[in-house]
Amino acid sequence: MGVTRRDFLKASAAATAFAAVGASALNPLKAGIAEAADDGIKWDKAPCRYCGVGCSVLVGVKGGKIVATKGDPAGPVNRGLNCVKGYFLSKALYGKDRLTTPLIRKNGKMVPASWDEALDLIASKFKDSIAKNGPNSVAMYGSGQWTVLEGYTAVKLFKGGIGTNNVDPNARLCMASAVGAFMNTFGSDEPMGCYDDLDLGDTYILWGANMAEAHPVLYSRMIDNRLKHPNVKIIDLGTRWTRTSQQADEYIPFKPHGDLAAINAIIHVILRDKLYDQAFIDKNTVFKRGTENAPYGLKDKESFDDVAKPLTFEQYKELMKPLTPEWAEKICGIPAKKLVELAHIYGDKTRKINSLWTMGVNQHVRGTWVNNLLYNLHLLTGKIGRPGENPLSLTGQPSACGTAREVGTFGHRLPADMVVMNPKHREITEKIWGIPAGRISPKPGPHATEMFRAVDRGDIKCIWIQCTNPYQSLPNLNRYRKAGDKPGTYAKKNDAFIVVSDIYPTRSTEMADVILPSASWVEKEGVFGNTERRTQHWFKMVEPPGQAKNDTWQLIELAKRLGHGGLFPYKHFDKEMFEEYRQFTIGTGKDLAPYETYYKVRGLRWPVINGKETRWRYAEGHDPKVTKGVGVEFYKAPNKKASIWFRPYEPPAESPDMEYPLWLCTGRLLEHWHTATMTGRVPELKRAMPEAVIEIHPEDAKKLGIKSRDQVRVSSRRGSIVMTAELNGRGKPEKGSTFVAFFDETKMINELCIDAFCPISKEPDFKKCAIKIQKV
Amino acid sequence: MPVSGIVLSCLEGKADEVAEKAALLDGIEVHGVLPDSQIIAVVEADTVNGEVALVEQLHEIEGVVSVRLACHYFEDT
Amino acid sequence: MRSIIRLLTVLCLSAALVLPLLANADETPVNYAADAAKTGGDPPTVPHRMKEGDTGKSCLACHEKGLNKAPETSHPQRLDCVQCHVQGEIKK
Repeated sequence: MGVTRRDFLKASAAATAFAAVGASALNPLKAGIAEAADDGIKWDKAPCRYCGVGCSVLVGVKGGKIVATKGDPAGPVNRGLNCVKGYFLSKALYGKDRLTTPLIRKNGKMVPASWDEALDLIASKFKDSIAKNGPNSVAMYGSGQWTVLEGYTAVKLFKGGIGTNNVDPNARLCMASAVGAFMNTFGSDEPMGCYDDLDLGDTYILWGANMAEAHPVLYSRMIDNRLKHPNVKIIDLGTRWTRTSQQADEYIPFKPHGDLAAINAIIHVILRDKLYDQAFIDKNTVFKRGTENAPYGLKDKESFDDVAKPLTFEQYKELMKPLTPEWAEKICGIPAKKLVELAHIYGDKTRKINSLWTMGVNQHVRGTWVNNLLYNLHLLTGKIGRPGENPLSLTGQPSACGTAREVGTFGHRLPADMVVMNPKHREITEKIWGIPAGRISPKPGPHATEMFRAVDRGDIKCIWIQCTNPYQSLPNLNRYRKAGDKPGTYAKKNDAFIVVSDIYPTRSTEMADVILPSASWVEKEGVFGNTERRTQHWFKMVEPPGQAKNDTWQLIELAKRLGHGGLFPYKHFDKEMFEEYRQFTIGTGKDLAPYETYYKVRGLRWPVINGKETRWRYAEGHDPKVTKGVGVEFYKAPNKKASIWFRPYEPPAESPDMEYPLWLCTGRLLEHWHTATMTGRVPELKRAMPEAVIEIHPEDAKKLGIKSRDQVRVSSRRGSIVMTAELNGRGKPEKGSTFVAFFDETKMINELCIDAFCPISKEPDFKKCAIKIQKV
Repeated sequence: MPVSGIVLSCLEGKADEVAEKAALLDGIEVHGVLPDSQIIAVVEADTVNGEVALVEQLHEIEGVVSVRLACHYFEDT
Repeated sequence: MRSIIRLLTVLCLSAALVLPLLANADETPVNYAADAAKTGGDPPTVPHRMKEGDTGKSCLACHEKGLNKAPETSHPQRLDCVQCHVQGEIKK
């Protein structure tokens, strides 16, 4: 056809200009020419590597290297848009210090080794420990960044092979409270709604979620909706003024932990002023009361049972009576009048209400409770399971849903909402896996915090960490780390054998006895599942650098050495293993499509039934599992009824006092993702946000004699670090509160965090502890 | 050699006239006139300075309200 | 010099476009190269100091029409500018 490089460029330039004004369809050249042009770049699709939004990106490969990533115009999540992290995605894989060879610690030094040497060593340590101390002396700590099949491999090897449930993911630090409430409210994990609600609703109430920075593409979708529909309202409730507040229609500040009181008061008013939907309640819900005066997880091996007692609606109303707006105002600081107003917004039959939340609610010592209360708002008003009005729990990792939650890489879970404690669930699993009955242990494995406490105590002797950075991201880090012999070096606290698979040196690889170089993202084939139940597939596009290998290969090599190689008999690994995993989902309302279906589509939202995805679960006309004529049906819940829980106010684990007078909240910001092991290696992102600072309210700073950019010592009962103070910066904490992002590996703020957690979900509270600040 | 995709916004009813004039300039290719008085064009020149001059000339055409850059490709060769 | 000129020497500014979603993405034949051609590359970083509290509106004050030698944006309808354009090296 004789299209030159220059013709191609010109066609591309024109196409981009057409697209810029939303008129691609009018481009006379259409897209054909791009195909004909041979610029040597091969394009393919993949979900973004970073957060739980699950944007589709187009990946351009030339000469065996990724040369460009673009927002995918055909991606239904992001429609051509990315956030800044996504645009510079390819650079995340090409940092100068990529790990390319296995390393073994010898006399305190990390020495290059062959794969065989490294794997043989790991296998001998695992075998030894299992023989001497039983299978519960070994553990796997995984990730919501694992692909579906990486998680599946780990669960199958540990639960079905080794015979221990000692597998937990970093998603425990992130989404466990959401899971807890989905299970005890609806009997099945993950949202009923989807991102379409961001286009179709008119009222968005954000509970402590800085979406503009942590879920930017979704926030833009909401802003677009408002641009087109002026009646759209965004209300941001939070403990800190953020970029989200800036663009919201209203910002309502509340005191840390105040959400627990505020939502109860809103429910009180919904009941008092009869704003509820009696018919919906009668048909679809039951009332329950759980165990109160719950503990905070501060003691090792603490156990807790949330025992449900049934309530009538009348009893529930009676229990809610004392939780008035006036009572709540004293705790949360939101004026009683405003709480009444919010109740009337939730109860307004003319408005399509959506609640959105993420870590503010989940990382909370009563995280499952707050999730329950948010569902109560929607269940009482009947604003749920309908297009345009739903509660939506946002996730933080690309496959927290697809892998950690759906595959079930938690200590207590199995695929498709099943749990190890249930004999029937174990039987189903053992059958699909073709393993002897009774192989899966009925004892749930430890949750993340307890797992690392067990390593610290010496109960767990060997631990393998993949695809995550716990020695920076766990709370109360100083329990697990200690200073090394030389300044600036660190060491683990006992002789536990630690294996870390990663793509770069991290604060966790420095603790490792063996470091394994991993393949990342499009260096392997994979599947992720995002917040809105969308399962997205990508092919391997480039070779991993050096000797790096994907995480499944690493796990299966261990399996072979432990005599469990028979668990993984696949010839066409990805396809066959996915089809095996898919069996768990068929007929459950969490149905996945055949593997090849995902090759070409930009993901599909499960349940995929008769080849069709489901936008709204439990909704007639959308979810084929719903009985005809019933409208909404929570068919996964016992008796098809969702639970409305009475959850009162209980105080935080630690509050400011004379000695430690300020709150500390931690979190994310736009440029960096989690512990910045990837984004920290992208020059554009590193330059835009080089270090973590502590945001302080100007009045608090004045009292302490601190000016902006001063160096300050920040201390809690658990640790102390020096960092830069920032006043009136990007985020503005309310008086008495401070904020530090946790990405900075040179200022590990999690050393200060308390390891208190929600007794139901075991998710730690990274948002609230007491600190003091001194000028240095 | 730089290549850019641009969007010209024109006064209402002037787009066709502007497009004709723009197409006469050496280095400008008009790719389409949209119903809302916008023109899609590609600017091509030997040097950045040449491209700059072309865009200047576009601004001079009567009826042009704005010239917006949609993308820019710069070849190293 | 007109504002747009400055930008020509810098980078591609086609990043954060609003693109109409193809009516039925699943049924159109897959052509990733064509899709890639429809959309831009890396968003340029911001070569001047940004004030905290700047909103899309304050960016557009200059970037909508190209006042003060600012490059004109191709996508004034996208208001969360800092979602894609982050602080870059500050050029004097």
